[in-house]
Amino acid sequence: MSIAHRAHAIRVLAKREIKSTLYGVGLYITLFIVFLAASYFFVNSSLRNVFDGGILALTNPITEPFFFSVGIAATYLGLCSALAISRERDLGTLEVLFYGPVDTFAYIGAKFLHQLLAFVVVLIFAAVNFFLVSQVTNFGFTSDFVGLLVLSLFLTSCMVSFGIFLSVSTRRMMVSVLVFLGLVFFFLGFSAAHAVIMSLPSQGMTPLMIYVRIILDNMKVVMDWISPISYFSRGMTAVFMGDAAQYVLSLVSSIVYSGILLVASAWVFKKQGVRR
Amino acid sequence: MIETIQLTKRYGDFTAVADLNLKVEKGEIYGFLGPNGAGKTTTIMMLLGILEPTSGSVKLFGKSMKSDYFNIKRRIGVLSENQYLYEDMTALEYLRFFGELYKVENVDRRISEVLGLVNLDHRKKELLRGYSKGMRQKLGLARALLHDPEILILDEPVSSLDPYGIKEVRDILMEENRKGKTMFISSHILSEIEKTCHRVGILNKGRLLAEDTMANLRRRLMDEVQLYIELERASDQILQTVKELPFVVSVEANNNQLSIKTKADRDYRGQLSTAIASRGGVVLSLRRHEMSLEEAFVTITEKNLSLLTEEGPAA
Repeated sequence: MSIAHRAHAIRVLAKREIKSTLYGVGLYITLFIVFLAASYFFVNSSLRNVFDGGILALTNPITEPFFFSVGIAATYLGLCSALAISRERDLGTLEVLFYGPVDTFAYIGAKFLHQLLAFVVVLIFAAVNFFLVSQVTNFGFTSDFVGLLVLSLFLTSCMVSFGIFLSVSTRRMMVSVLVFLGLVFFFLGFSAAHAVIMSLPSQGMTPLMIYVRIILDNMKVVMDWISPISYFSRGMTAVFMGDAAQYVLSLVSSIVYSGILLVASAWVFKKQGVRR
Repeated sequence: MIETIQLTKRYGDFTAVADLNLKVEKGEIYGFLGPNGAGKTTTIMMLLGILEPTSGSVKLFGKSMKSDYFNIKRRIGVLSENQYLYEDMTALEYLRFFGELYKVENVDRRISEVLGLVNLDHRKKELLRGYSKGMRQKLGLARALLHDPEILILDEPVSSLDPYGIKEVRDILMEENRKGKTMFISSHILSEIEKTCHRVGILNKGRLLAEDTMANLRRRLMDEVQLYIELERASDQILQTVKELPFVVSVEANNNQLSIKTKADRDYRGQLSTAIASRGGVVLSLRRHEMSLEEAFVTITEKNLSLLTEEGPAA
């Protein structure tokens, strides 16, 4: 039964990786930065609204900081994924693994599982942190928050599978990092540019600006399916709107996106081979 | 145990391995020789299922890799030329990880055994980043032996070792062979191949030029045989008689020592002795120069390629 053999290989490989992550400092530094940024975001955004307006008109004020934290952690894990395979290929250890009972699907699956497990560690810290915040500030730690935790895991899987795909496609470690960061900044930049252009009043626009606006809007449709960040935005919107259907759609689309990228990664990996 | 049938690998117009037919029997030590770029590593990668052949097939234990991938991989041990290790692990952690991957039973006891074999037991708790090249090579061998595989595929197993380490590894390999392991050894250290292998295959430009036992390979490769004869007393008459023999190619005399080259189509020592005796000469010693594998290898790849190609590649 190759499924049982493959599952065994995934478990052993992912166990080694997660151990290495837990004994390393990278994850904890990221956690520290995440919570520091989230706290600043929380105080600066939510509480300032209270002071400015005298009232906070948000159903759940910890949702936004939570997504912000998860976004940073997921990007970090995406970057780690982008490094994971190209690094191992660079070091030559990849080839040694394939001398033994490890195949492409087991290897890609283990890399994916490792990053998701690392994210579960982040989630545990995040849950405790936001629970404490909710206790201190008296903002509710509602049952919706559990739904958020689940959704964030699926949204992170998009970022991780995106990283894995880049890692197998680029071969060299440095190239993987540069391409990953380049694309993340491009997606963020595009999103910001789109938001700015769309917010401009259409009256009095030059024909060129209108043309640019149409192009950006059409590109956005494509970007929404390509960019892992878009899946985050959609998930976040679904939670803010309290839209259950959108929430489920967000989960399903994340699974499909991750699945497609992982299968594509396996295909590219087979083409590239395991040698340095 | 290992069989390749018309195995071919092409990269565009370049043919790395062409129509390779190999058969390694159970318990055999097979030496795989060839200069750099001959296609040895490509062949090994195809044996391991890491490279997909362009055409032809590989069978290990009578099965194709695809038909039983995981079980076949568990029955093979591989040692590559370069040891790529997880530098952040100790030898113990490294072997535990592979032990778990290969589902080795009583893994800690087995780790002790293999580390003892390669004489690294006392360094097992050190990080691998501190290991020397030789230690890495030995640890690689320990990893290859950890799951007690039936086939060992070794690519340059002694290339990074000092003479003592070479002997150590050779002894381990011979012992494992005595226990029944089949071995496929690719190496450029020809003396090692000669000391360990039962049969040798010689690859050049992706083609198997020769595959035979060492003795037969020598016979096929030599077009001349060098003989050294010590006479009680050499004379011009004896020298002239020897020179006139139809199978003698050349004769050099140094006092009572004769250095004679004869044709290699058969053994002429008897006829030579008789001819010398007929002129009253007394042969004190007659020694035939045995070609080492190293010489044979050079001959094959540089000089007498035609000798092998005339006979055609080995079946």
